[in-house]
Amino acid sequence: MRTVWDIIKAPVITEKALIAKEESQDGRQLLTFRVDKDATKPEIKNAVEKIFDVEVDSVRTMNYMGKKARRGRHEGRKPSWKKAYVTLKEGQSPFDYGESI
Amino acid sequence: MKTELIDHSQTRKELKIEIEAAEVRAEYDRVSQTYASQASVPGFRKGHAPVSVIRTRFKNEIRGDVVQNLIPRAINDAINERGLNVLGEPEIHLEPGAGLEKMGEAPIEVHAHVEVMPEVALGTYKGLEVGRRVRPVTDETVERMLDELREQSASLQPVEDRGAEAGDTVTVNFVGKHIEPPSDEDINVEDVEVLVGGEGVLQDFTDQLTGTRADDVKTFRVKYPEDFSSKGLAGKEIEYTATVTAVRRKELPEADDEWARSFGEEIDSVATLRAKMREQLTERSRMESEHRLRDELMRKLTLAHEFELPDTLVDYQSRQLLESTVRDMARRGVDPRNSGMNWEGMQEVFRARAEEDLRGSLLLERIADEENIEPTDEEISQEIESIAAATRQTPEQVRAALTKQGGERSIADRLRHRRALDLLVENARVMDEEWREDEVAEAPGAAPSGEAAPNEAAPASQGESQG
Repeated sequence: MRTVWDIIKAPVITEKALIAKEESQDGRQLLTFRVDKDATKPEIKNAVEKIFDVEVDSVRTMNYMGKKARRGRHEGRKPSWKKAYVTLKEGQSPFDYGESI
Repeated sequence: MKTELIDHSQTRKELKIEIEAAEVRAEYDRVSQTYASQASVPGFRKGHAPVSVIRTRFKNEIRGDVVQNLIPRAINDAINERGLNVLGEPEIHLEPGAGLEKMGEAPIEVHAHVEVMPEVALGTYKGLEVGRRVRPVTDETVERMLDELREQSASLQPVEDRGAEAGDTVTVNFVGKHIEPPSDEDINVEDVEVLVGGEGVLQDFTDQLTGTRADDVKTFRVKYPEDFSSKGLAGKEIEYTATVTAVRRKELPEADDEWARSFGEEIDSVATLRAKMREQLTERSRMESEHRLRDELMRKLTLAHEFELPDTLVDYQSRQLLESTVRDMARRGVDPRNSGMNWEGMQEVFRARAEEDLRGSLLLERIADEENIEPTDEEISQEIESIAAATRQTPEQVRAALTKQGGERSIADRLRHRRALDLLVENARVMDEEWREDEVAEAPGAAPSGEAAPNEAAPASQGESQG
């Protein structure tokens, strides 16, 4: 059975994502996750609310194509993945990804 | 920082140190900052990852650094605060707990086990009672020495008018046939000098060679005992054909004035030689009694002062003793590995000796402190010169060798010790006693030897002290 943990894979912790989080839009925090490729926006919203006990305003997603990879003569791809920007509702306490992932 | 001192014994102390949370916090932040400014983390440009990310990623490294920075400093401070004179390295024990898990939120507790110099409480060291025993120099001993001298300058004179007697030296060519067990190899040795009736000469040879004259040929069998010193011959029976080439007797020079004059310019008669020898013997016996007196004093002193010795020092000292023994063996051409020495057993002997030496030097050190004995530079130079004279080096050489070993200090220490010992002797109540032989074996070094190396020339009780 698919659980919330199957939908949310990991937080995206990069300079870009962290800056986006810090400079939150009009008081709303913006979180970034790697999510399952087949997850839908409502599924993601639901999962984030369950895991982190927060209220989600909106979810935007985008698909990333896996990078081309080559091992000698063999050419292939790294797995493709989906990124989700999750905007929290106003007035949420400051979010910490913590070690819950 | 809070410290607590726990006494385990005279020499073993435990320091309980608590490093406060704020202090840990500051160090933790500092270390995290340095990591953050250098670490490269995927997703961030080098040095741009935020501290929080760094802290989760490099948790163990940061913790290690913090501990490594804080603990030694804390221990040092604690040692200084308590004014401890620590020997060797402290043994550090970290108390696991919140202080380590959550950096900077709780104090860190450290236990340091250290060894310190024991507090030596000086008892009475003046007016110790010792007996002085001087080996008497009698006419008899002088005569014996004279005889020894004659023995040394004896010459061998050929004997023609009689057969060999006990005390004669017979020169023989031997041809030996193995009888039991048989062997084709003959023994063939020429010009063997046999001292008839001498020690270490088989009775068989003495018996067979007594009465022989030059050019005699004699055949006899010898059965070597099982425990004969030469392995190749032990237990064998051999038929020897001995050809005597010469019989000589030992001629001792007459103890006359002419002979006496051969010993030097200033000796012109047997009487002066005798007087000279008596003088030498008296001097030697005085030195011996002086050594004995000092040994005795030290023994009394160490017995009167009971204190514990730090293991580190004893270990060090006994290792030094062991090393010098091994070096000594090597110098004499003995391979220490197969000299048949029982090294495990020796270890204990060395330990015991090291302890005794240390006890002595600690006490002397203490007395020197008490009496404000501090050798002057002049005295040190004098000492160096006397070492130079004893080892036949120039004072400059000795000085150079000493500076290399950082030994100027050790010379001063040695002088301090010697002066302290002198003081002991001066203040001791010395009672003259009848001469009697010691039942305990005489300590090596009591015999006067001119060529002893500087460190061997010092009495055993003046072993180096390390502070």
